[in-house]
Amino acid sequence: MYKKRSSNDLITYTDSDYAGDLNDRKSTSGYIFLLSLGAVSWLSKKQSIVTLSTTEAEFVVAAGCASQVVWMRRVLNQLGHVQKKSTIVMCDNNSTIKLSKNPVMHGRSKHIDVRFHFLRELVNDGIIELLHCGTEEQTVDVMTKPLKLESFQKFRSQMRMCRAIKLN
Amino acid sequence: MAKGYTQKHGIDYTEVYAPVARIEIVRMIVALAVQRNWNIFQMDVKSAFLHDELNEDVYIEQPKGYEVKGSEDKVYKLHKALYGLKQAPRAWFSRMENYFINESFEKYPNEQTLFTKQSKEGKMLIASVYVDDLIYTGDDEEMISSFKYSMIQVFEMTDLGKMKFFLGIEVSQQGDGIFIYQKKYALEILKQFGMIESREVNSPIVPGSKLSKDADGVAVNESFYKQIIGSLMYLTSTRPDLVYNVSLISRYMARPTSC
Repeated sequence: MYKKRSSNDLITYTDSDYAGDLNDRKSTSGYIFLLSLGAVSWLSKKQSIVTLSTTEAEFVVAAGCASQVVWMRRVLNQLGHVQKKSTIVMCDNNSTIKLSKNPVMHGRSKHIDVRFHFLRELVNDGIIELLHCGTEEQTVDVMTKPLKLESFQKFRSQMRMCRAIKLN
Repeated sequence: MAKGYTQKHGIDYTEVYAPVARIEIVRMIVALAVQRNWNIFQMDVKSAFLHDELNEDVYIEQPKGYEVKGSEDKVYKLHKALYGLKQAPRAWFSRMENYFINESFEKYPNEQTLFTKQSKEGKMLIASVYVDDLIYTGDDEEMISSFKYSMIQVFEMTDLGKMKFFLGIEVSQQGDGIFIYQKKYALEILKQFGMIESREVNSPIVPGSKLSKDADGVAVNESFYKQIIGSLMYLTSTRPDLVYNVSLISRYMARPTSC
């Protein structure tokens, strides 16, 4: 359901689980884009590489999400809906957010170099902004893990999904 | 229907690619139209591929039972595309594209099915093409009606009014917003896979459950399993809450087993 009189900025949530696949220990990426309160674009996908830490796994999805942001902003621009402010990307991993702001390179993150620079450049150019959000508000959990019924229903309504029966 | 499968690449055709709209674009158009309080309209064309110019010379045999007496050995040369021809969708799309360019629509290299036009007053018209289906929206009634009229004239399109059903997705445009859903499709696949009588559950997966490969399990029909996944994937066009589950089970497509 897409609602009127809602904020007209694009908002994004990203998250990943860590090493969720028991066979190859790869993590699952997830992101959701909300526009007019409704979800317009989303993804749930096993990552193509094995990562060594949660931060790294979150970083991989944040970088993947950032490329989607670039594409979405371009299309919105074409549709006459210019995004003046930077697009907010909600992420529940503080280390990822800090890494995107400060070029601290150390032993545990130096091998994710390319993604690191890609994301940092977009942050510097004011195209995206990573913000922290608590696990409670992480709508995107629905894309990365099997949830309890309660949270499943909560996140589902946060994406403005409702029963078709209510329409008539 | 022409026997397209007898055509050879490089001889009978060179290019067959015709772009289709991304479902994300459709959802974005819907979300923006809501915000701007615009209606979305839809049109389609009954026999899209019969009107198109061909770039190559294509010959066809005379249809069985309709041979011309005395010259049964002769073949026909096509002036326009036929259904079944490999290049038919391509020819159709180029003709649409040319129309949009001539009408000074803007097109975009990265989104080939999306066309927009802006008037001097800053009014806008947005159109997206899906083979023989078309949706369009805008804030200027004159632009909308003249666009509709020329589509009917040039492409023999049928006006379907407000967008209600597009690519299997049902659309309900209401006072306070737009709702998209796939009830029809969901019921169809339930029927197809014999689950229409099954009990409903509230959540798609047991919390915290993990899947892993079962090397010793009894193999089940692989293509049946793949069909189910394919259908569920399309259902996720309006069901982001199911995406995780569908992508999880699709990791085990290689050799599905029963429990």
